[in-house]
Amino acid sequence: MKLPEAMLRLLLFPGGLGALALGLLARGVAAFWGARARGRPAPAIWEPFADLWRLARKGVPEAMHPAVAWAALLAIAGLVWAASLLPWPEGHLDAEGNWIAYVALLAAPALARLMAAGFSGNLDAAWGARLQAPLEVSRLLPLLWGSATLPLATRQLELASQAAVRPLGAVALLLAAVLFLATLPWPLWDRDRRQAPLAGIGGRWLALYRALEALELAVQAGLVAVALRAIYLFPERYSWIALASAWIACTAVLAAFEASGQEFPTELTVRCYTRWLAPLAFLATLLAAWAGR
Amino acid sequence: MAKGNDPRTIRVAILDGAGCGGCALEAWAAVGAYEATCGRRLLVDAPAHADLLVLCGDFPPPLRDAVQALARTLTAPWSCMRLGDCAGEPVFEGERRLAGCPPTPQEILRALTEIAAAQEEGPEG
Repeated sequence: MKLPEAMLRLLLFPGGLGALALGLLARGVAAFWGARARGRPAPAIWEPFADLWRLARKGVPEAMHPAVAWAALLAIAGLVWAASLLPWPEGHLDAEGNWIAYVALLAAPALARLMAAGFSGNLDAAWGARLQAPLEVSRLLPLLWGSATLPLATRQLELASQAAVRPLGAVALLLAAVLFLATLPWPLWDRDRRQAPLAGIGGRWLALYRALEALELAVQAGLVAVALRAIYLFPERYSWIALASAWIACTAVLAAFEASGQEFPTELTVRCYTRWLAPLAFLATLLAAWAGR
Repeated sequence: MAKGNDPRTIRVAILDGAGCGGCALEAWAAVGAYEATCGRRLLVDAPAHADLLVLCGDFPPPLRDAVQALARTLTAPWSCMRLGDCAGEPVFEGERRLAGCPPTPQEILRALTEIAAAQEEGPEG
């Protein structure tokens, strides 16, 4: 792949601005339909874009450790790189090990949020991190576990190649796609609350974390898309439908979360991740291992 | 909601001082009504995320110090609005005042809109 093309992939689509725009749009659409479903007045779809623009034009917080910004910047760079590995449009950066890199980078936002809380020097934020850490860890457990289904079912560590998997493998990959949808990072996002990990961070640095949330969503939607693509639901020529379907599915799940009232108690959510989704991830990997033998 | 009466995307933190609480009630009513009719979120719990501090009632020296310490977590541009006839000594330079005991939700909303427009036009705070 030539350098200009690689740069375009990294900065415009599927990485960089493309992933950011898709993530923000998903949040805007989800908030709109979530509010409509509850019979409440809906915010404009472009509200997340306006919020990010407003924050990006603000100053930086006084006397805060620069590690707060660096953590976000590193996580953003990681997610942009991960998104640029996605096999859309064709002419991908296909290489062995891309799958491992992609999945590993999904943990970067969680680390950045917890680091930010630690370095912000704000007691509210430190308490927020203490409350949110179990949520972050328990969400990553089924997510990372379930992501093992793709290499097990398809016998490859790439993101790009479609594989005509057996029916059992297809079931495992569908289960994995459901897991990726069920572990969307929605319950973790900061909602301008006291006792949230980002409670002490304002201004332009908060914009970095808002952008990180949008990228996190886009990269997880990419994970769903790759799982759908591996099932071979769509012919190679129309594989972009997998990406569109994944984005629509993620937005629908977020809208359902929004419609349900926007609040999940931490304890209940952790229990859901560990008691229900983790065994489901185990089952999916077992099926995938069986199918890929 | 009438057109032109729209505080757009500013984020508001309401702090109640040493008054009777009437201004805070009206401020909550104004922002709550706006959120309910326009579906936008204005209120924030975390003051670091706020663009506008609404101070209700008087802020005598101990409270003033606390609010000034709190304001150090805010990032420019941000503004401060004081509500009520009993608002005493200024807490911040350039703060806006809205008189009334208490001012009506409509007046508060109009002031929020003006502040949002001023913040859109140019940095201050």
